[in-house]
Amino acid sequence: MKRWLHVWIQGGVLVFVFLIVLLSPTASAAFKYLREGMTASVITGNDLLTNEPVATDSWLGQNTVIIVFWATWSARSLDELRDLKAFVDAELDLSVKIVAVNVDGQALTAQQKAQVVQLTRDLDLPFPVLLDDGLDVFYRYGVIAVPSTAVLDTSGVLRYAPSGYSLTTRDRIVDSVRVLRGLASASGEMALSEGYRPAKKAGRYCNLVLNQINRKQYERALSNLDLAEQADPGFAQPHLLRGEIYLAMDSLGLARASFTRAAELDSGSVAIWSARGVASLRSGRIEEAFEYLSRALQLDDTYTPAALNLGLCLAEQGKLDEALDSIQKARELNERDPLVLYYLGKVQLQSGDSSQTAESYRTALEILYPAP
Amino acid sequence: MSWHSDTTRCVFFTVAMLGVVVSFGSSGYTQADKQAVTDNSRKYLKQAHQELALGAYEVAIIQADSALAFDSSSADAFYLKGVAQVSKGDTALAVTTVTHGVQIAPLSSRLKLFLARLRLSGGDLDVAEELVDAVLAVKPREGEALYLKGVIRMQGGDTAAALDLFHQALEIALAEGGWRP
Repeated sequence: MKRWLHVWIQGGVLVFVFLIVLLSPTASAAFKYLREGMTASVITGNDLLTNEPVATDSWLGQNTVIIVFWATWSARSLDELRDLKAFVDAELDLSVKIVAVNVDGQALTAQQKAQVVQLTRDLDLPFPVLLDDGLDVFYRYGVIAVPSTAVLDTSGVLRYAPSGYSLTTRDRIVDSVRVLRGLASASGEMALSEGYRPAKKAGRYCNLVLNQINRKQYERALSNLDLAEQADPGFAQPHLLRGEIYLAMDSLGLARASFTRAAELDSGSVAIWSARGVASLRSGRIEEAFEYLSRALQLDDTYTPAALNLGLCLAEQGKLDEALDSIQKARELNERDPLVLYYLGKVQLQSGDSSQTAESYRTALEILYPAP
Repeated sequence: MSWHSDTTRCVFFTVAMLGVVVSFGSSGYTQADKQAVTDNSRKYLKQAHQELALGAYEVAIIQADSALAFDSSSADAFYLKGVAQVSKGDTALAVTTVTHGVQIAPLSSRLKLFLARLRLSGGDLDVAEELVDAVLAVKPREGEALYLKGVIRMQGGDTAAALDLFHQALEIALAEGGWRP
């Protein structure tokens, strides 16, 4: 074959692959453990101001449900809450139930709680606000950034889950509710992802496992994952969770195998690609980790764990400036994550900037040990 | 007086029985009373905590005082009262309260570290460091103490030492606190 034709074909293949990646739908991932098509686990609690009990499963059947994870330190969270308030005031008959779950921190002091209460009063919201003390719901859902939003249909299935908040997000949330209420057609820009609908039993086992992982009951969780896999062999989630457990137990080979299986079942999941990257990084397979984490960020460039771990990969490769950029990006996405600050400090130290390191470490410790 | 005489035995037996009755009666009374004291103190502490979370600082102070009325050595009550006073802006009063609390409840690391913070914010580095060192002497892996010592070092201009202390505190806090990315 003539050389020019050979080169042209090679170039064409490269362009084709590039376009496929570019035009592939980005899987914006607000939640590590919840994908479109899955049933969201129930959230219960007492309203922060009125102490009235709230249970999201009591709203199902007739209502579309919006769950917003917010924090007092996140300006975009407050924008979203105000917009949702305006939305409720304008659309009284839309059969939408909203709950705002505050995730200010893992161990709030009494003064911090008082600040949450005061701000909630000031916002004067027409829907309940729950305080996720201990971040139990935060971890159960695998919230990646703040704010993050879950729009559930009347069966409690997740249909739209943006992370972060902008005017576009606001419009998309409103549009998704209209589509779910049958007031607009689901096409083009307003198409909602159906996602993979797992067998209900498999979904329930996975929700149970998330609680068990929170309590570090790993053996029980692994047994329940066997049952989840039996209930739905095509569901990727059990393999993702299995891999997370093996990571926590430092069984890196088993973790990599589980994540590989998860990726075979769901190649469009940013959480799975990111987890593969973390397992490879911890195994010392830096090039492999870089590939997986880059893939995750192509799917969703707002996925904090991928940005953070890509930064660590780059640091391992000696590319300290790029590493700092990547970790700073992770910090912008979740400014109150002390782990991000810790790794930022480590890379700053590697670059020789000990005063910046001390600042990063100090900021992390202020979050971990807030003044009473 | 002979043991063999009826009178002696009678006196001895009476005294012995009286001793049994008094000790049984008094221990029973003290136990129930102690429980009531603890329950009441806890009740007021719980209320103080709730009032604090709602921003009702004056009420929280009153509840903390009520807890102290039942249990004058309650480290938690001193702590909550101090927090309420700081939240109100009465830092000087908080220092007095927490200093008193440290004297009454010297085993409370929480009170010592709170006082260390108050002293630190007032620029009193030496006293703050003494308090922090007292905690570290008993709990060398107390993350918050290592952190505060780092802050003290940093304020004293020793960034290298601060960095080392911060690093130790972070390793402990992230490993033990279950913090996940």
